[in-house]
Amino acid sequence: MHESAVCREIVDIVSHAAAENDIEKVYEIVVAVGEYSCVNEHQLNFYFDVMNKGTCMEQAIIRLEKDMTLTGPSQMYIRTFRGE
Amino acid sequence: MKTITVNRNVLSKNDEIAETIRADLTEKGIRMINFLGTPGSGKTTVLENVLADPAIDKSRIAVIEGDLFTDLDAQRMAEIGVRTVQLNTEGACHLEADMVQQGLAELDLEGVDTIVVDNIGNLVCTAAFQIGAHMRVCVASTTEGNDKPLKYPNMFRTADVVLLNKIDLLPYISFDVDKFIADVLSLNPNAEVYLCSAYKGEGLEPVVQIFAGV
Ligand SMILES: Nc1nc2c(ncn2[C@@H]2O[C@H](COP(=O)(O)OP(=O)(O)O)[C@@H](O)[C@H]2O)c(=O)[nH]1
Ligand SMILES: [Mg+2]
Repeated sequence: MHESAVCREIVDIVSHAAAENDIEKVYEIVVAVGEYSCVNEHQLNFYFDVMNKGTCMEQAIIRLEKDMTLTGPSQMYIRTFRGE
Repeated sequence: MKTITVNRNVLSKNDEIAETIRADLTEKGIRMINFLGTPGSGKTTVLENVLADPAIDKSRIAVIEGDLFTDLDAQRMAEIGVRTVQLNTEGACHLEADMVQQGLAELDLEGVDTIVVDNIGNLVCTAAFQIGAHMRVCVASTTEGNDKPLKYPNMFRTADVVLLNKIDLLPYISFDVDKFIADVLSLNPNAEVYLCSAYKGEGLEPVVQIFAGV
């Protein structure tokens, strides 16, 4: 239900990290999610398609990876992203 | 093509603000309690009854009310003479730390040692967003059915105290209290579980004690 807030943060964090690493185009973002992250992949992609417009992530996809070691309130970590 | 390692909590910005709030309040000797639960489980009714208890010094308490729209709950708090500020998320289904920070800035905290955040009614998103509280109290109610802990595990895993409210309605509905308690404890063995009826003002002593004892 909070996919828009999650997406806003992903775009924000990756924008900064891409700029710091001289990356102009991001192709893939790998996000680790715990068993109960309560983030729906379909909805996340829906928001991402809207929020990535005009950013270095316009052509990127988000790949979710299950990580059972993530428990507690925060269960989503941006692991890596790929770009050039 | 380069691969960049980030390893960053997606909600880290929110969590950092929450950490700042918590540290700030702790330093001032103030405790913040996050009141969570479904819409209508009785969060505001519990607060009304607990705050009206003679053991509670209302001048020491402040309430941050969170709702999508209206200041109806803030009015209910004002009626019993507790300082309050209303936050309206205008659609967002949970409070985030920066909203709570704004709410705190609007409150006169002189003499206050306990702040209660009456969060948006929601068992999903509110569990994921830290707001800088020292304690989470989840108000569940019998009319929701006893299967909610297993269906919304994050809420019940992260709650320090679980109140099962509306026990006055047990004779009229099918609700397995033992199963509810066992499920909560299976998810969260450290949770304190209490049964109450805010409507009748019964079983609220543990909450009164939490509010009274700093
Ligand atoms: N029967 C019964 N009704 C209750 C109890 N506690 C709250 N209610 C009712 O449940 C409704 C929602 O309560 P409210 O405190 O506004 O819920 P909130 O949305 O969680 O703040 C109101 O009509 C209350 O009168 C209770 O212990 N027993
Ligand atoms: Mg309410």
